[in-house]
Amino acid sequence: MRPLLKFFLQFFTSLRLTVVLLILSMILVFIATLDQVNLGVWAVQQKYFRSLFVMARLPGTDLAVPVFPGAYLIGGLLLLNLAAAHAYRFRLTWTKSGLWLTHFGLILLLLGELFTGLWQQESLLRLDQGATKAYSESSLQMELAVSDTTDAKFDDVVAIPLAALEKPGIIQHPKLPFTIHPVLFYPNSTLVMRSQVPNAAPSSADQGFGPQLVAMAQPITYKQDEQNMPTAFVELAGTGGRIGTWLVSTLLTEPQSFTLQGRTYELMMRPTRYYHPFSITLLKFSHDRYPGTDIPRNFSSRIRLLTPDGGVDREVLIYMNNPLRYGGLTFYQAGFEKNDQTSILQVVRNPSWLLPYVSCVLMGLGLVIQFGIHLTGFIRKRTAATVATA
Amino acid sequence: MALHRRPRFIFLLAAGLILAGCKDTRISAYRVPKESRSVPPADIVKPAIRWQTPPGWQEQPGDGVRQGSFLITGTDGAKADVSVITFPGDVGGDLANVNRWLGQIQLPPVSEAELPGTLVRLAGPAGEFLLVDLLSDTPVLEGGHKARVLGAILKQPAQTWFFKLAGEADLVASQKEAFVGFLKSVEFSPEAAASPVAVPSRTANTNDLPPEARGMPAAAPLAEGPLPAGHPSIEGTPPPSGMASTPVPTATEQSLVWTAPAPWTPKPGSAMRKGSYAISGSEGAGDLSITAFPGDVGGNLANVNRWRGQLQLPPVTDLTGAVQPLEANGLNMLVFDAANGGGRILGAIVPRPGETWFFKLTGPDALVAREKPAFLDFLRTVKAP
Repeated sequence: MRPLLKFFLQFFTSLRLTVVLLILSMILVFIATLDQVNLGVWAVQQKYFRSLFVMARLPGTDLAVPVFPGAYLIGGLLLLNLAAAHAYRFRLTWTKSGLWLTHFGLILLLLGELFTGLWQQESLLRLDQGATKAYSESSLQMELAVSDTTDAKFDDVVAIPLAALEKPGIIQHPKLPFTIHPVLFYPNSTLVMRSQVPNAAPSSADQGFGPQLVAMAQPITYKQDEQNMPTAFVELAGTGGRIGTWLVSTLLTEPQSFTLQGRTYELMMRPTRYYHPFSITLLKFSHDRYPGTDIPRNFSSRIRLLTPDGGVDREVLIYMNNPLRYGGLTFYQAGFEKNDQTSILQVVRNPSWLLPYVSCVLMGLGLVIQFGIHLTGFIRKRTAATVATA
Repeated sequence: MALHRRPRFIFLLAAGLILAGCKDTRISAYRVPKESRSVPPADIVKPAIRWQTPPGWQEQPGDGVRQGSFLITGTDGAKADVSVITFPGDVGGDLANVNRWLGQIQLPPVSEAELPGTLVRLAGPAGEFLLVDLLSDTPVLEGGHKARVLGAILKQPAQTWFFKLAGEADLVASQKEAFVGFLKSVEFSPEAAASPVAVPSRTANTNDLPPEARGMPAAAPLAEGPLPAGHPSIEGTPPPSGMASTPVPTATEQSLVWTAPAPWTPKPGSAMRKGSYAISGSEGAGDLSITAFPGDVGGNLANVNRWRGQLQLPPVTDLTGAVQPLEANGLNMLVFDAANGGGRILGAIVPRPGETWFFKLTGPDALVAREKPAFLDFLRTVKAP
């Protein structure tokens, strides 16, 4: 065997690697838990667990350098280590079948987390009583929606993720007869009426609501109960040159419209939307309390699920621990607002949601088999010993 | 042996992991059916309703429940009353509503089967009204007159409107045409649904979800209070419709408390006001507003110059002399006092972590000058709980 291959083989099949990786993952979990105070759970997940390396900025520079292995690297190596050790050391025999099954379950668990990280999509469906929606909205991601609203029946939407607005550049799309040039971006901001701040610098915006407002940058928040409110200034340019500069912000709840070449467009910064091939109507939201108290007993939403072809048209009651599963999505009762007039459903798409269950069953079964084999062997030996001494 | 396949496996794994780390910057394009702009619930937004008042109808002050109120007086002194009321939901349905009116003039209720026979449909720009014309069997009014009720129900997605003409039978009969004309003149302004409204929303999250942007307290023009007399309006540029509040870093709970002098009358606050008091005297009426905004709202100089601007005073370039420091209960305040053209602003700027509080007393010069000691004493009661 070539020395290099031998080295790799020894490295990846060694039990020491397993121990080191397990210790590293313990340290990672520990640091990440502490850092939740600063970053909040979502940012911690991204920084420590959904990454190959934990990055940190070099002081005084914009350069990020890896400082610790991320969970994807540790998990990936663990997976490799487990697979390699199995391929190299274990023989496929009946006596080892329990071990095989347990380790296969463990591999599935690791893969399940990887797939969840890659594919899981969480969003919120916020419905006023009587309202119908065919889309849910991200609770964290925002987008700049540029809609051609000329047609009376439909809107043509071009949705631009905010990441594209963070740095100057040119954004273009075949469906848009103009280009978008990000001028300024605040990841978190407040807006104040210009009349309140007479000394503010002139606005970069000369169209829409922008000239009347002053945007002020705010520090990015990672707190669980706060949300960043991004604001951007975008300049639009067509074939005839510059069209104008708009202020777009999630703080503006109404779109800003303009006309170009006989077509009407609307600009709006909003939570990223995920459209679904069906609609949901909130028929009734109920918020039951324990008699004589304000302590919630139950939240439930009676909804109507409808597909455009009418193939599915049914009423469903969603309540705590009783989600609706439909079309690869799970709808959980997550909250309510506006004096019980609005229900909030959490919408989760996770194609690999079954994997953790399958892996747990496999691991449990594997352990039962393995210990069962040991137990029967032990009993057999003991019986033989008793017979021999008798 | 499985080892031979390992390089490919590593490559696939690495590719997957790298993909997972990528930020999604893809632009997507799609076509969606037009969305009807959602109408907030009726108890939150009062739609701007308009109508043409028929001749002879005397407008009466509304009482908070009534959106419109008119008095009709007949030649013989007979009286009839017109009311316009809205309630959220369907208020029990048509049958319940008609039977309520029947009960008011001591008529027996009708059954579900009889209901269609009592209703007449009337189309107008506001929608389809369900009209009932009810006449009492007996003289139920004072003076031995029979009563008559002309009622109209207008249903909207989130609320129901009730238009009612009630009174002496003969007078009501003579006004029926005017009432129908009135109903046909009813219109709702389209911008009503889009106008910013103060919604103290409550987000209860059972899964610890982040709260949402849109439902946060607010949306109101960031006006601080009445301007001094003679000041040009700063309301010329209305706030953009739908401008939301400035929600993020503000403390959600009241971070300051105070004790107001007894002669100051608390007033109902607006969405932006944390506190509001009316101060009156022989010199006129003054207004004390207490507001808080996130951040430093442009800095002390900008805030001082904003107040100076409201008094039509030129801006200053330096805070020296423009404000006096005042320390109370660990709070470092800047007290502003300036007068011009008979008006005066006595204010205090109180920086707090992540936000700035403004205490502002405006009113006639003489009144504000007289109240200054009380105002300063009041500032000394302000503290963080």
